[in-house]
Amino acid sequence: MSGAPLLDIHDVHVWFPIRRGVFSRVRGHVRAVQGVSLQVGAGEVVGLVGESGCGKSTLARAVMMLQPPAQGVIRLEGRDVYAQSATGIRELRRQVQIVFQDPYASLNPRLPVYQIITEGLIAYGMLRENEQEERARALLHDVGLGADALYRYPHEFSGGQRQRISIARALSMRPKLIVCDEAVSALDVSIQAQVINLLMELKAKYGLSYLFISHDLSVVKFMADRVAVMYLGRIVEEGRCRDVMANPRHPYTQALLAAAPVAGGPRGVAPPLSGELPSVTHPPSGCPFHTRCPKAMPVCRERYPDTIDQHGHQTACHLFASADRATTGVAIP
Amino acid sequence: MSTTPLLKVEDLSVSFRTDNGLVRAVDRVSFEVFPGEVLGVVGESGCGKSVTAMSLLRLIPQPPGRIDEGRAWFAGRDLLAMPVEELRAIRGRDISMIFQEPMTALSPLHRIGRQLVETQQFHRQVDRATAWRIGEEWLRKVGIPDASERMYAYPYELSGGMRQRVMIAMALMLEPKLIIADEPTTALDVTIQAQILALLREMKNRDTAVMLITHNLGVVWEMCTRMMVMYASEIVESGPVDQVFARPGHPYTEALLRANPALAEPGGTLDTIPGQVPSPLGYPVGCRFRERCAYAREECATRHPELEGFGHQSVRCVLARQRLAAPSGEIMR
Repeated sequence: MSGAPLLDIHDVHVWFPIRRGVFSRVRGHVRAVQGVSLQVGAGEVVGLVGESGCGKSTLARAVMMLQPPAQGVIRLEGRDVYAQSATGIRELRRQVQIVFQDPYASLNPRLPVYQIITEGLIAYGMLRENEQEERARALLHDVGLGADALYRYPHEFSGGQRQRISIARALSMRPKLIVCDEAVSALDVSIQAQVINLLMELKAKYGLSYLFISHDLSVVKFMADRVAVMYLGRIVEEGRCRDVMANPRHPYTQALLAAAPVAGGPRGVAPPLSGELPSVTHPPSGCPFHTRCPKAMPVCRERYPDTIDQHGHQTACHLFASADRATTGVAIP
Repeated sequence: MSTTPLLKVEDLSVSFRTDNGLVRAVDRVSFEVFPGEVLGVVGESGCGKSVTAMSLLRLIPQPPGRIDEGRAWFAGRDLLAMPVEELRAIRGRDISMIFQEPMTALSPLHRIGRQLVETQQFHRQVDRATAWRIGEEWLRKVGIPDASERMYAYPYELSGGMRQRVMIAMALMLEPKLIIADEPTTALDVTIQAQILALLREMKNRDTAVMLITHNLGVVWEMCTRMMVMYASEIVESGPVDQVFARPGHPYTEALLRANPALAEPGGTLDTIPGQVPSPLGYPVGCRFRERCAYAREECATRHPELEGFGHQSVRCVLARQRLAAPSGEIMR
């Protein structure tokens, strides 16, 4: 990556207040995202994986400029998105669009397709109403739908077609970054393949970047250039997708990869990870993964490990930190 | 593995009356499930796999549904012909079902503990205290933390993954001879999925038979000994998992495997299946996959192929003999 990355998430924390009692006093905070740093370069696909509740979607909301972080900075092309004037943030919001998981819940059932996909443009004054149909036709063409879809309503479409409409809507704003929050997870395999191909085509055609959130590792492996693994609000491992998939370092990443059965791969080799994600309200001390980690050491209970960078492959685990603690942040040969 | 089937389904056909006409949802489906085996049932939404499963326990709403014909032999008796009272004794005790959506299978008004106790007392002579203890033990087995407290929880107080595991506990608790699992892990994280799959594997080792309906080919590969593929209400292929993956006899099976991102080279384009599943209101005369098939020829338009056996594999395709004679690997990749 050269120059400023398109999206730069720097040490972001997102907290939600816990309110109790008659006066709804704030009695504490749920630390949904804790000190996450992640970059997405122009034209890059960055995968974000982790279990439900790990903070992936909260981070996405922060990136969408919908959830101000308690601490940290999110920059889009070098501009701090939460330090903008009303007009500034409006312009930045246009550049980041989102495609949600459930195409049944994310399209307005009362609007015809042409309105759904051009609504944003009208609101931004980028399109006159008499041009709506023509633009909608072009957008539908981009996502592989015919002009016969223009005046139909969402309920008349299948899940895969609806997801195409969601993509057309995101695309209409000419964004630089699209956040795909489990965008292909609910689709059948053959439909999923079509939507994945479409996303990759559009990326090449319009130079888009994707922050691709998914719990399906095989999809991330196929699509992403880089991948970040989240556990309880933190990124525990990050690196080039092929490095992380071929040589996962963090015990959590190893467990995730071993847990997902791969067609044609080895069978039943790894014992499944026990238990589930601990409560975010009462996170375990030290490295929060120590309660489930097969390789936990005494130090893991005491403090959170530093992130070690080896040739751009970053891991936050004491197994690596203890090997050479003095060289934190420096590449180990 | 025993050689006498536990369940033998013969020529099962099910249809639904809709506003637009009669829909044949399951069309002359025949298969067997043996003790100690996991049979994978694969196919896309709407192919009839769930209706097949529900019909076996006569759980489809009648009307509008109707079991047109067929027999389902279980321990020498026909599930489809026996009086409902007898079937009720079999449901849950000998054959249990795991549904995809746990909220519809659990009573929202009763605590988990009570539901677990009631299920046992319906089928067995067991006192409340023992049933409670067994229920709690099973919650622990399916990986629910703080099982003794959870016994007092209402379903809405649990996360989706936990509710799913409660239902799985309920299904396994009576140690049935056959478990019909309809997308049991689709809504779960891979780590939880791995735990559930490990449990099912354990049941299988105790000679329980499992009919596993899923669209995840990785899960089929990992768990199943044999698989059957459904398309447009029919079985189009069945056989041992290794054989079918290595040399899919039906072009649809091949297309499904090719569309799987786990089996594809990252950065490339996924193979997709063009077009759409034909409407069940009027299936074409010939092969139902013809219009989407890369190998279709003239005779496919007029001749509806029968499911033909070739050793352990059965295929519904005019080209089956030729395709299965090709050296393995010739078809895939």
